Amino acid sequence: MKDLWIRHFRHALKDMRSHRFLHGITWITIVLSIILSGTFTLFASNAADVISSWRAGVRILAYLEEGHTEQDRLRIHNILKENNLISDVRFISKTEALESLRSRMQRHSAVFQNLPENPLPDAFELRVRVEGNSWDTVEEVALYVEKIKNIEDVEYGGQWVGRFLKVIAMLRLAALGMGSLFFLISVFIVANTIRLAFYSRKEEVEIMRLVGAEEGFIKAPFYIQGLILGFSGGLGGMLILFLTYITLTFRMDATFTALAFDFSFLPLHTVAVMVGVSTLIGWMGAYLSFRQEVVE
Amino acid sequence: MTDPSKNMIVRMFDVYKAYGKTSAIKGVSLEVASGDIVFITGPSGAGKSTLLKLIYKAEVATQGQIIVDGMNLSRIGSRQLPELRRRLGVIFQDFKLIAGRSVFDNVALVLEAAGEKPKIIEKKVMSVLRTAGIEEKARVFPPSLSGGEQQRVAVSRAVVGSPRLILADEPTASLDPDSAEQIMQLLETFHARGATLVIATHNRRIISRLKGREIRLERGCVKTQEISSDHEVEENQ
Ligand SMILES: Nc1ncnc2c1ncn2[C@@H]1O[C@H](COP(=O)(O)OP(=O)(O)O)[C@@H](O)[C@H]1O
Ligand SMILES: [Mg+2]
Repeated sequence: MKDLWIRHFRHALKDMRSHRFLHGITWITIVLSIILSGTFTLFASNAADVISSWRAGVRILAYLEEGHTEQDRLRIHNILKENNLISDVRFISKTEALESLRSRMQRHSAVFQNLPENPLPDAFELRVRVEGNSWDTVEEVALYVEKIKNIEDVEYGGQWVGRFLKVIAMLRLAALGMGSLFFLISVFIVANTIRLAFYSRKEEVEIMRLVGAEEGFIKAPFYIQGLILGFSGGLGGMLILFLTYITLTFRMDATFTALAFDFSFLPLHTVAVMVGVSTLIGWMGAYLSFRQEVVE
Repeated sequence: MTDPSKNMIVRMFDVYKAYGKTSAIKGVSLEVASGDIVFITGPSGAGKSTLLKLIYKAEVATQGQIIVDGMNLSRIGSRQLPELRRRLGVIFQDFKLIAGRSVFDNVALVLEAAGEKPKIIEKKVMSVLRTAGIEEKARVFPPSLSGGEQQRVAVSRAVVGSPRLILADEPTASLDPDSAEQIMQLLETFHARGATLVIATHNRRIISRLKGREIRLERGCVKTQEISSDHEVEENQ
């Protein structure tokens, strides 16, 4: 059993070597498909993280005017609490805000070292439930809060966040569309390559049939070629994507930290799924190449 | 006719084979007993190759029944075809060796396909190559061999799986008399080890050399079935 697979593997590698140009191009096609679909998935997956954090409630910061009284604060707190669109209200004093900023930006702690006074204002942190993908509630609440006396300013994601949701939806659709397109293209290219490798062994295949070799025995090396192409292509694509991610995020680390935005790589199970899908591409390519074989 | 007590390895009942409009085999009935040597003779175009192809099911009969080693060929599907082929050893007129594989690998293919272990493959292949006298050519590629040597490889491949039935299509046609003689000796050896031989040929020397039965075809019909060249039996059409 083991010896048989070693034999099939050897034959597969021999074929790949003798058709190295075609197999190379096919491999590159798979790698590119994986990189492109992977990139889309990467953005979609990070966007999904952001969205799921919004589902818990969008954060609005309402800054208080300089020189407000304790009473003002209580009054505002009550107004906010009474609003049933607001799910959570928390007061963040200027001292607390500075501490949290310091801990987030430890790298740049020198900047905060000898501040003459705390430049940050007191604030209320509110959470607004987002129903579906609608951003309207958030805007409504923000406008309402802004009009309350002693509120200096309201800060929230801003309009771009609302658009962001639409962009995400489109991104996801694009990811799905592109993914499917690349999937099909890759399958066809693999099928074509394997059909060519198979046809270059046509005579040999015919002889094998005449001496009583089973179809599985004859075709196994070609399936192995497909699986090798798919698996290594998937792995290669993911590796390149990861290295690109590392290089880019390392450079932009400071920017991301400043934005308090965590741009993470694809989770391991997604990587596994993508390599798995790529392997499936190889298998399907081989399968398709035999489907199209003319029946004699 | 043949001894009915013997086990029949090939039986044909009223078999027809047409290629489009050309009828190559027209109502052939015959039996080959286990252990026999049978020569299929007749002029070129008589249908000898077609008859052999029907037995290893490279061609499908248009009409009639063919039973080989207990398998009814009209009943077996593509799934059982490899099983049938592994029970037979076929020597093709054009050798059909794989140019890109060594002599050893060509012969080993049959055993690999049958799922044999590498150690057993090594032993059996070398043993059969030794019998064929081409042991030292094991690592050579077929195109660099002479016609006679290639035919010996083809015979080795046909017999390495110890088939009960060996089919040979003009095994000496392209060979010089010495090589032809060696091939016949080789076939005789494997017959002595228990194989049934069905040989298509028009080489009279071979027929007289091996004691066997002759089935003469003419334009797709069995003309005569004679046993050891002095006893003729007319076939009822
Ligand atoms: N593949 C084929 N297609 C069409 N006609 C064929 C084919 N093979 C053989 N024939 C025809 O069938 C007849 C018998 O051929 P064949 O069996 O090769 O005879 P033999 O081997 O006795 O010379 C011939 O007329 C030949 O032209
Ligand atoms: Mg012929």
